[in-house]
Amino acid sequence: MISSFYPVVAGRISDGLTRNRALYQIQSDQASLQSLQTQLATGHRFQSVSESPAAAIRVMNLQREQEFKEQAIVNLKSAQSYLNTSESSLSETHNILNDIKSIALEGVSNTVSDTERNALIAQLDSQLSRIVSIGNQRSRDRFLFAGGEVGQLPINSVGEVTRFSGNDLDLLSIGDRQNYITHNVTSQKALGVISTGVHGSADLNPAVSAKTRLADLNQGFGVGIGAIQFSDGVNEETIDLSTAETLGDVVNRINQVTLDGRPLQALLSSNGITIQFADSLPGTLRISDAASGRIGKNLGIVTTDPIPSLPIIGADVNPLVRTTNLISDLNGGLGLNISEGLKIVQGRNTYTVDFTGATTVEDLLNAVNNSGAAVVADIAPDGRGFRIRSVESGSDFSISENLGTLAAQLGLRTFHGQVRLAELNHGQGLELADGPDLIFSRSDGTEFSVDISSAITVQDAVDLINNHPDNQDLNLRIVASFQTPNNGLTLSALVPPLPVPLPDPAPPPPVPITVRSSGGSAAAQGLGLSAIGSSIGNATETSGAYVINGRDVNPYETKGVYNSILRLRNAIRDKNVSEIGRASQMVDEDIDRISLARGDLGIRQQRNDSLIESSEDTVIELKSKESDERDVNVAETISQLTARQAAYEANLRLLAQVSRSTIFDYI
Amino acid sequence: MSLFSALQVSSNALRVNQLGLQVVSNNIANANTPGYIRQELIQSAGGGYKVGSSIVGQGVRAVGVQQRVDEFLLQSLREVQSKIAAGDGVSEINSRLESAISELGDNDISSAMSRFSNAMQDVANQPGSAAIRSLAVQRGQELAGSLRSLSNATRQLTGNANSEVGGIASQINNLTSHIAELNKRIVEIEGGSIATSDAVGLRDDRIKALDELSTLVNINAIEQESGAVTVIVGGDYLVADGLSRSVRTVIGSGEDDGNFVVQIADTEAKLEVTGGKLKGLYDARDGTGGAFVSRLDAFATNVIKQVNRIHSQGQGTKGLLDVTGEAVIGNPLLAIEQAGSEIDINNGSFVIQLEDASSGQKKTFDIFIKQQGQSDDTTVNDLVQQINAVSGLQASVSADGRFQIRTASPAIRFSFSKDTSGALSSLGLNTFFSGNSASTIAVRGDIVADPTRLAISLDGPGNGNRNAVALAEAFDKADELLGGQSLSESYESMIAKTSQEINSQKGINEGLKNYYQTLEAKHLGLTGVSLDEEGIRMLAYQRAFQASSRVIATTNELLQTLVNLV
Repeated sequence: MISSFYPVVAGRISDGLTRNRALYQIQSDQASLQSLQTQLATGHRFQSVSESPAAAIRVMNLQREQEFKEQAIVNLKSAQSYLNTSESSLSETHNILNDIKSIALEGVSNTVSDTERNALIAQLDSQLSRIVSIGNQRSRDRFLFAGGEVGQLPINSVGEVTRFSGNDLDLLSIGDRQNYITHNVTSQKALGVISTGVHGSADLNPAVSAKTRLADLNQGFGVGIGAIQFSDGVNEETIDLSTAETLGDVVNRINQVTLDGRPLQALLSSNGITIQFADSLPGTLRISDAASGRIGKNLGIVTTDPIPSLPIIGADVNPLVRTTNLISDLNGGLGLNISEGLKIVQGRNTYTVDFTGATTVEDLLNAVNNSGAAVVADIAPDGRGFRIRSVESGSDFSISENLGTLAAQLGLRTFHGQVRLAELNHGQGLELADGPDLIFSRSDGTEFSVDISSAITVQDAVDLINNHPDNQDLNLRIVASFQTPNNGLTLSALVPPLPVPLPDPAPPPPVPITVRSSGGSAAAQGLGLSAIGSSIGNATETSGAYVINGRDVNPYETKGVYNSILRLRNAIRDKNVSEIGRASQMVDEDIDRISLARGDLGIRQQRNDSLIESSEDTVIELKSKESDERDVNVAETISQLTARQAAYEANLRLLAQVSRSTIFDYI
Repeated sequence: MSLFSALQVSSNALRVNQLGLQVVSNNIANANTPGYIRQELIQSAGGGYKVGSSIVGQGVRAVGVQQRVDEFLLQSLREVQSKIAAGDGVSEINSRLESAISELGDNDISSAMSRFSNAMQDVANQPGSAAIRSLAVQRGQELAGSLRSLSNATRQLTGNANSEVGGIASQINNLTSHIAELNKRIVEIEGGSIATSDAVGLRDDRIKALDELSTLVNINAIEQESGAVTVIVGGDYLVADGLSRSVRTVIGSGEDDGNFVVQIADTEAKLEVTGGKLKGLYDARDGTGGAFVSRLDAFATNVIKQVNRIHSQGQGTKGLLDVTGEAVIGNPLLAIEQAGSEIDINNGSFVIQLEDASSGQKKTFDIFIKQQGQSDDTTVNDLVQQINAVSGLQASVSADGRFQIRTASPAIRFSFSKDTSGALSSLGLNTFFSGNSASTIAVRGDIVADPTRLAISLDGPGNGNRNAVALAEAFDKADELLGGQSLSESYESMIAKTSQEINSQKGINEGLKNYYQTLEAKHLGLTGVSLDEEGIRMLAYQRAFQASSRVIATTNELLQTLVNLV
């Protein structure tokens, strides 16, 4: 803007000066008027950033924050719309489950006729199909309950089971700065569609190699970034490892270190780093972390002794199992014999997993995932081994050996010694009596009984049987063991050979061994040693031995609404009262799960509402701040305009009058 | 002493007063002529001669006509004028630059960034919607387009300033040769007399020419005893007496590389200017305007890097069948970082995952990039080999130097993840933006053609939206690249810096103009015509003329009386 004065200088005044001043004054007044007029017309104090840089930058900042908050409100409202739809679906499911609960109560009654039973089954089928369509509900762009696979129909009915093909991934959005909102509810959290994982209990412990990433060490916690200092007591050298990606990089850097002319040598063992002088001769070699670094400590190569013994052997760096690991690197480099394969039993189907040709961990996972079984195999979250989960509802699921011991080596066998008795039979455990639970009949017809109430695990029960004082006669001993390849216990006893020469009178011929539950106990059935509904298990004679091959009593299942309804339906059909009871209990668990999910949903909705409210308040506040910075004070500007206009008019009048007087009027 | 000498004295007086009236009438006639410098008749009493014991005066004589001018003031005025001309040049470009930036509105870069980020959030809200994904790609194009058009507009402004430099040399030459010519004629007419400035019209012309020259370059004009003016610019004379040195425009080197500079033709030395339009054009081209162009380029490069780094690690709706790098690789035998100018990588690794739709098999491969400044660092060819070792993938460097990966069969698709090396974004594989500056930034053609390539997932193709959230936050996350600032903050700093410069330039210019007005007021006071003053002078000459006429009449009567005696 032109400044509003034109200097008056002492001395002579010429006409040109007077004219210039007048023109300038007029220009200046007009420019001021125009500026005020623009301010009023636009409503803004400044039109460009350079007019008031500090305020304009504040305005830009406020605008940016406003745009962010407005989008956050859009996100929150969009999330609310999905969550509201999900909530009404879950509420419907909740009601259906309550109906199902009453169907279960009706079904458990002994007086139900076949017609009534069929009606109950028809009702269950219809409720199941309603819940399947709820599970497959679509809203706008997505299947609501499919997790991250938003375009994938999540629930598929296949014969008497349902299969899930989504996942458990949360969909995130921005609710505020550093504040993310989840705008979906996964089937797994609300309905239950994936079984508990069969976690490999074995640590697959991959051997380290030059390509092992530092970030994968120490069970995925990685190593700190930093530098390591080497010293021979006199000379020191520090290497910066901040750009190291792999153990190979670390080894290379160490191999470049020379102390007093003696190069160092680092080697990789199967589980860590070993360091010494390259000449393999003794000497002082101290290693420490430089400054506050932690990489040396994390690699376990930091020394504390003044004269550490050489070579310095680093700690086990425990790398994560990765899909890219070679099978031959597992088990600390010993590898695994994978040729034996695995067996997966799902409902009535048995799938043999053939690992032929597999070289990497991922090949193993692919083989499981493509075996035809409705399972998802991946690396367990702790990074130590495999995890296999069933995504089929309404069926039992178990993993057993195929030919050898691979399932056990991978820790994937679903039935093994460490299974707790209380977990058997779908978590129903064993029905035990006070006193003896199992009565064994030997091949000579004599009996002994075993009280297994003190056993915690299946192995404990096996030990109690095998170590029973009355079961130590080598000829008559009944030995309990784990079957292979199938899951289950085995009782076996030798068929005693006929004495030669045959005494007279001839001893009674041997009889097949039996096992039965003692009164009040259902241990034989519970351990799978007798058929369902029977309390006695009979041996058959196989290759000179009496053998009772027990059932698999620790199958996994997918706990969830679909499983419960299918189980209930089948139990009512099969008139299996205890299964109806169990299914009814599972429906209760489903109701709990869904209530929990709805509760969580409610909290999220509430939180979103309050975020919307606070964001809207913030937007108003930001707008008001922006207005303070940028908007014109209309009253003030109008009064400035009036004053400036008056000054302008006065100026014009004065100019006109002053320039009228001249000496020529008087001569 | 005789009556005749009295007649002579009076007739001289009549002539001088007529001359006075002529000067007055000339001043009055030029009262409104811009740049006219008022003139004054210098008159002095004629010498005396002895008559007996008395010395009698010989009347009045006109010494000359002089311009009323203060040379020092004039020089100061020219200096300020030069500075103002320079400032005006810069201000002109600045105001055009500001309207090109047009911040505070809805169509500026910051709004385009917000819209892109918001569109990515919409994608996160509806990851399954193809329409929303296309819109996000469009928003990316819009951001790229805004950056390009701002870059083009600013380049045009600085380009215009540069071309104007090209035209200024001939204007300088015209004026200096004109001044030299005027010098010659003034010296001829005035013959070196200092007291007078007889060649008044020529001097007016020369002052005008000097004024005009001072708006082009800052000059130091020194009037010599001869009446000629020497014109010096930054230590080099351009006019001396009747000679002028010509200047010419050349394409500069060094810090002026590729730009026009004005140099003295005979010495080929750059004309060192501190003011005038030429300085203004230099400043506008290399100063705020030029600085903004490079700041905008740096900003756009960071946008490209940041967004590409995030995008390159994500996955689209489906896996990829083929991908072509954006970076141009010069020599594939060199370590990757040295293989191309746009490549900037770390020691690290990335993951390629293949999925075979026909068998359902997934295959994961770690690709290691060794970048330790040693001879065994990974070369482009090593990388080609590493990827070629992946069964089902074929990597190559195309004839035009671009890294390419394609699958061996349409049933196989691949995706990238976990890039700690920065190789993917550096080579331009699976990136969002192409280009490397504000003038070349664009959304990759393959994404525009097929928005399912927009990498919104981090958990596998078509699974979830985590990368869309990361892309939405690309502008707001503090980054080491930007000294701990976010892209939005760095953009604001850039605008703050530029507008602060524009603001202080305005302040300086305003101050100069105020100073100029003070000097101008003094100058106009001294040199301008005052009609009242001229009126009074006119009266004085009139009265003196009338009085002298009366003396002639009286002398005539006396002579008549004497004649009648005869």
